[in-house]
Amino acid sequence: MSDIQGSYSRVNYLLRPTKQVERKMIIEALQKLLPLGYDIPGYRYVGMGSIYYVDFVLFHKYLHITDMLCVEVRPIERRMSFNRPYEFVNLHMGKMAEVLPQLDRARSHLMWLDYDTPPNEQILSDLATAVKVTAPGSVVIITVTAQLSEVERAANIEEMKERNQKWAAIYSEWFRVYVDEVTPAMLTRKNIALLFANVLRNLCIENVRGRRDVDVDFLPLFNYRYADGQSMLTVGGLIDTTERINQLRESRFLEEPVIVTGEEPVGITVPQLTVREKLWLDQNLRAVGEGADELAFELEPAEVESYIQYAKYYPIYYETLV
Amino acid sequence: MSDGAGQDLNVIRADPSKAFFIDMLTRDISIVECILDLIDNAVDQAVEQTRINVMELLERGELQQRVEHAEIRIDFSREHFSISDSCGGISVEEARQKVFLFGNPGERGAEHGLSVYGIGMKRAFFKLGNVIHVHSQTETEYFDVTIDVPEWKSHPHEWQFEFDKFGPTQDGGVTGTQIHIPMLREGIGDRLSSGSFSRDLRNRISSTYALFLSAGVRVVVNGVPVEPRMPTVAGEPFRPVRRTFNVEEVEVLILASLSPRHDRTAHGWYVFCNGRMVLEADKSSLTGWGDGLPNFHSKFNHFVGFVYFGSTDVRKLPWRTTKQGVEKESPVYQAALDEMRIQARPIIDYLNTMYPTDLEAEGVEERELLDNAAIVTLPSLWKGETTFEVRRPARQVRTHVNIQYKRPRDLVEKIARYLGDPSLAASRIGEHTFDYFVANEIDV
Repeated sequence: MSDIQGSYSRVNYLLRPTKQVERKMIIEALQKLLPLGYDIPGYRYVGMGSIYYVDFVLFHKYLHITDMLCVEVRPIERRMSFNRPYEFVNLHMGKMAEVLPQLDRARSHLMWLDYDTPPNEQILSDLATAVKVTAPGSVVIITVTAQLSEVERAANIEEMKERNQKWAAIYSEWFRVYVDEVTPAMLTRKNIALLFANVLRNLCIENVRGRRDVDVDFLPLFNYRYADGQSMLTVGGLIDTTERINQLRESRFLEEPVIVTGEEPVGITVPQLTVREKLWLDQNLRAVGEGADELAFELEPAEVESYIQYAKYYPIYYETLV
Repeated sequence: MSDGAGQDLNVIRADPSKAFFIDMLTRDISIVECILDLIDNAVDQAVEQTRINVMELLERGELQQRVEHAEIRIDFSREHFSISDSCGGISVEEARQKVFLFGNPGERGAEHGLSVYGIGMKRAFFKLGNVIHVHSQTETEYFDVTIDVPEWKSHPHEWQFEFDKFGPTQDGGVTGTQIHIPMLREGIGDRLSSGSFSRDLRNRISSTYALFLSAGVRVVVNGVPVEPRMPTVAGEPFRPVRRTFNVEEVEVLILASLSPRHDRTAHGWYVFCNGRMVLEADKSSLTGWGDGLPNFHSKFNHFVGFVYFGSTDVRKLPWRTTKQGVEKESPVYQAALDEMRIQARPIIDYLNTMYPTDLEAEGVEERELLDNAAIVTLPSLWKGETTFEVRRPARQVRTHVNIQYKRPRDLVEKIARYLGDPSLAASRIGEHTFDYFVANEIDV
């Protein structure tokens, strides 16, 4: 029934190219933190890997993290154990809300709260707890769905308006601490990511600054939206002492292209390409970028531009016979 | 600089008025709370005498020593009120220099004690009575004081009381303090003699001093001893929260879990300072509801949380002068509140799944687990640092669900006739039409 099915049964995680681009961008940002004194390989990763554990494998390979905890709420314990990629990946079968209070408060964490629904009260509360229990130096990232399927599925305009108003009222209540009133116009597919991004970011800032145990601040680093089917939003940042955050603000770190500190989410879009097309584009990248060369195949200028922007993160998938 | 009448024009007057103490401060507090204030003084003396720390009950599961011979007797009727204790008594010097002062001059009270602000006893006197006799006896001396409130009020600038007599203890006897109020203030007798008052008072005492009563302090109201009342919580398969930490020389202990299934009380949070309850079953923003936690709702009735603040320096604890509620702004309380929110969340999540809005009502696993959970007392949770967890039995994924719906009777009967059996039960028709849909529309 619905509680044993998740997005993993609808989409093969490996084949979500923009999600994969996003993962690689996050890895690149975290790698840039290494020379600034952040011992990311010593962190503990807490994620929601699903049966594919893609993020776990990537974070181990590229960030050398060797202490990981995967949280899975669906009753598929044997399947999760079976697919566990490394012996140092621990598994907690239950809710993120159960796990967060147990975390070692002295330990720096990389945490990715990766949901496949729009934010709700529980998700907001998980995030609030996450940024309150992680030690200075921790990076907390959250992904949520940034579209309202229930509204979009409405049979006619009246029904859509009605559902929009219903959700505006619900969100006004849930988000009241972090944004002023939520209006139906904020909930369109185009606008909703900005609303959610503001809520999630303000929530992190308020809860981090409200901490009594340490003098810490929150530095927003990620604010991406993308769609492999569903529209998704990823927001995240660094929790650290006010002093260290100020140092980072003054360094060149924030100029890295993968870092998004602004309020407006940056869209990650990549064209769907065949392997041949990708290889051709890679060979001719500079010329194509300068507009000097004719394309060998049809591609919209916007698609070319987004490919150039994200070329180095673009995943290639082959079928492998195993 | 002075005017013709010899008044110094640079002086701005800021004297206290007696009416402020007698008629105004007393409005902030109920009769029951005044009586609790008087009990606090007796308990504080018992603590000072025995050097007991009742928090040990929750920190070690037992007390190193119990309180012996500390009894507080409260008797009242429409005509009078009295409270007497055998908790050691007040020395003449203490009475002369300290006990009757309005406001504690800043000295430390008893370690782990309940005496903080130096206002409770006097406020209780003025709230309850027009004439108050105080008799106290230690092992070596005794004193008697009579306070005639209207008479005292009529001398606005005289801020003292006088002993009726004092001297060395003559006959041994019980060491302790007796407060007798033979003339009640207007309206007080009616309240004291009302049917519900005695019950309210006993209930408040049994929960406010539960730890002290468990430690051996006896409180007897109109001849009947009060039993301690501490809620029990659900144990296996639930692991309750137990979290301890220190903030600014205050030890904080947080315990939280679900209340047992049979317990119908809407709980919320209970807050204690040095073992004395200051907030009972709170469901307001004071304890995070609607402020970091969702607004309280009846589906959270089974949430039960306890926060104990303990310190050898009573002034560091977040209590208010009335000992009702907490000083929310205090950094100690704010730190605890952060942790309370963090620890409460998994329990609230659990209760959310226990009462889903869109699932069939029967067979919710979360409810069945609570039905069959063990019941444990707070002292039994004395070990370790734990967070809320549910040790679920190996889960059987339920393969079938119930469906219930209503449809017009004439249509249902039509289907029955169509199927050739007008007596066919509606549930069978439901199954048949479902199966028909699956057979024709769904790839299985």
